[in-house]
Amino acid sequence: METASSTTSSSQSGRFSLEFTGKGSELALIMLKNLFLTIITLGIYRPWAKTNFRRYLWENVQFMGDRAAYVGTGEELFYGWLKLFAIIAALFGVSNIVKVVAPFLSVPLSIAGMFLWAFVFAIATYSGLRYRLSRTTWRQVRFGVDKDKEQTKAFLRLYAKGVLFSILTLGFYYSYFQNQKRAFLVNRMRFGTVHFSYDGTDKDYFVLNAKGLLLSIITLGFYGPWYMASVMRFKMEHTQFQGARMEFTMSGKDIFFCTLIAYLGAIFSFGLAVPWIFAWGLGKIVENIHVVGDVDFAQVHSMKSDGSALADDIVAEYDLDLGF
Amino acid sequence: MRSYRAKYFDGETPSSVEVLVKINEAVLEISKDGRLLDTWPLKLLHRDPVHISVIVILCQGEPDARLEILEKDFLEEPQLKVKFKKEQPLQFKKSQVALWLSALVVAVGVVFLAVKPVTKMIARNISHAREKQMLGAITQLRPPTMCQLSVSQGIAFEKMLSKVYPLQEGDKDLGIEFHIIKNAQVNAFALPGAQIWILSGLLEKAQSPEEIVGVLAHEIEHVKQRHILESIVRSTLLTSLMAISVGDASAVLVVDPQTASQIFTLSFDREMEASADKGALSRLRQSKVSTQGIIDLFKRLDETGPASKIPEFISTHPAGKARIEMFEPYSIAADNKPILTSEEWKDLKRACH
Repeated sequence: METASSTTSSSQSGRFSLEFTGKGSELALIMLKNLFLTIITLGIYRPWAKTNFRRYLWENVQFMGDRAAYVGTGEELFYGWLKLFAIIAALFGVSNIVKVVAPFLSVPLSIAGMFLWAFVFAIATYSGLRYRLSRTTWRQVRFGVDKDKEQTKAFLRLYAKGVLFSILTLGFYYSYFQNQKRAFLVNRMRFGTVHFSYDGTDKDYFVLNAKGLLLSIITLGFYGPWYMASVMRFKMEHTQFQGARMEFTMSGKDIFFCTLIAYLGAIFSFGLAVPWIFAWGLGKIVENIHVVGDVDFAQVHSMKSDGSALADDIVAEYDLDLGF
Repeated sequence: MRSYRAKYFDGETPSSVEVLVKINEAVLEISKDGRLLDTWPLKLLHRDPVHISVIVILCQGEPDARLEILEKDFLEEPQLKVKFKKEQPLQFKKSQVALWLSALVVAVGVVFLAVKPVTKMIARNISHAREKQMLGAITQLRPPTMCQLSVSQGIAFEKMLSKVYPLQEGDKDLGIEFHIIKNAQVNAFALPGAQIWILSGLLEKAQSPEEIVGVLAHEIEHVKQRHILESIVRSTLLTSLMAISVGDASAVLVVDPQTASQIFTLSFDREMEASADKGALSRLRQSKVSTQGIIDLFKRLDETGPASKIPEFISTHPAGKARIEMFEPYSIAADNKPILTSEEWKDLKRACH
């Protein structure tokens, strides 16, 4: 659904909505094929399964009448997964050897391990997002996230400070950390050569979260969907591209009923309806995302992007929050 | 030469151009308003098999460009029919669903059927000594309250045990450790590392030494027939397979201490239980101990225990009635000598007080 008016030959102004054209039946078939091949290959097919799934979802998201596309490959994710497998196995091996050979080193090693994982997670969050966006295209122009040594160091500093302060303040700083992380990433995110920008303030995000958490506790969790809607709205409405701002129009009530229907549908169908529920739920979310304002795609040019498939695997494996 | 409508993306700018494409000998011509925009050699074309309603064509030489053909009969062009034969996207058809669903059922069935013989083979190829070495430490993860037997209680227990262990060839290699654990439940377990735990509740509620001897014979058979190792290997295989299938790389750490401690919740399947019963019967017959003890115990458990209310097909143990029927023909023992004197028996029953 679009309401647009052309201001110049290249720029467009209006309210542009995203659309999802995926079908539960097609998704079910992909899931079925993925599950079968994953089982008979003892899990080796999983990266290709993940890629098939992403390709289907991406290709069925339309904006201004054109489909997005996912251009990542199963091979990339497979090699990333192999590396992750080797790292985990090596760490597990080393920690067990140390436990046997020098048991007194177990505690310092565990502490060092925690720091190491925090470092790995920080890098993976940054690099994982870079990977996913670099494999996402619309009208054949790739998205991406800037990267250089200085920016990586800055992100690590932000991450270290965020984790440390969140612990020291018993979680009170966590909202600030989340917002700073999002601001850092969105401000380096780009479509082709043009950057996105984010202007949500830490204080506003903190107040939003404090209110949401408090009301969720008081209402024994019933406020959860309204809290989720307000967070999504905040994130979207503070994200800009050129002269346009994003908008999220799903209400707490919509999220509540969607969640309820999804749970009940999954339970009463013994899980068989999951592909249909997934396609329907994703459609509801996608259709409530809009871009409002002026965009001028003549200013956008294609630009090479990259990212680590290993990082993407870590993000998926440890369910790291990319904030998107 | 027929032209087809298409959307053309050049890969340089986010422009979406409605074009006409047509095949001209060995190339695909892309044109707009009569002006030729690009030509793609047919031999470099491939179809992107994404599962969507439009036909996506990519060109090897131009990795970032893309054509979305809007007319399906484009694929009927003779040059393309053969070329794209193998690049068909998955399409939702009843036949496809039936095919993949049957394949999935077959795959799950094969895995299900293969797990048992594979685990048996692995378990049989690991020596008892190696098993003890590998799994002995697991029981240390959850140290029980062990009862310290007095000298006389120890002698009484040994007398009882000697009826069924060591008795057969290879028994000495098993190196089983027996422990009496302070716990009110009426039960006994065979555990990793060739350990058998007899709960004090069983001793208290048992009405004769023969009942305990019958239970010991049963648990010894679990150890001898490698049921514990088999269960662990099976559980590990299935857990890692499931975890890998749903995408959990940490499944490589499946035998970590936490998982190992979960082995306490492992149960043997009905086949293993029936096999242990057969082995126990053989031991009791060999040592001329009456099976009446174990029959009495089964009868009481059947009357009072929750097991009696569970249908056989979902229970891990064979139904009490079937077990009793197996032991019944041998209830009249050749050797009627009591295993323990009544004083010894009373003393042993107080083991954990």
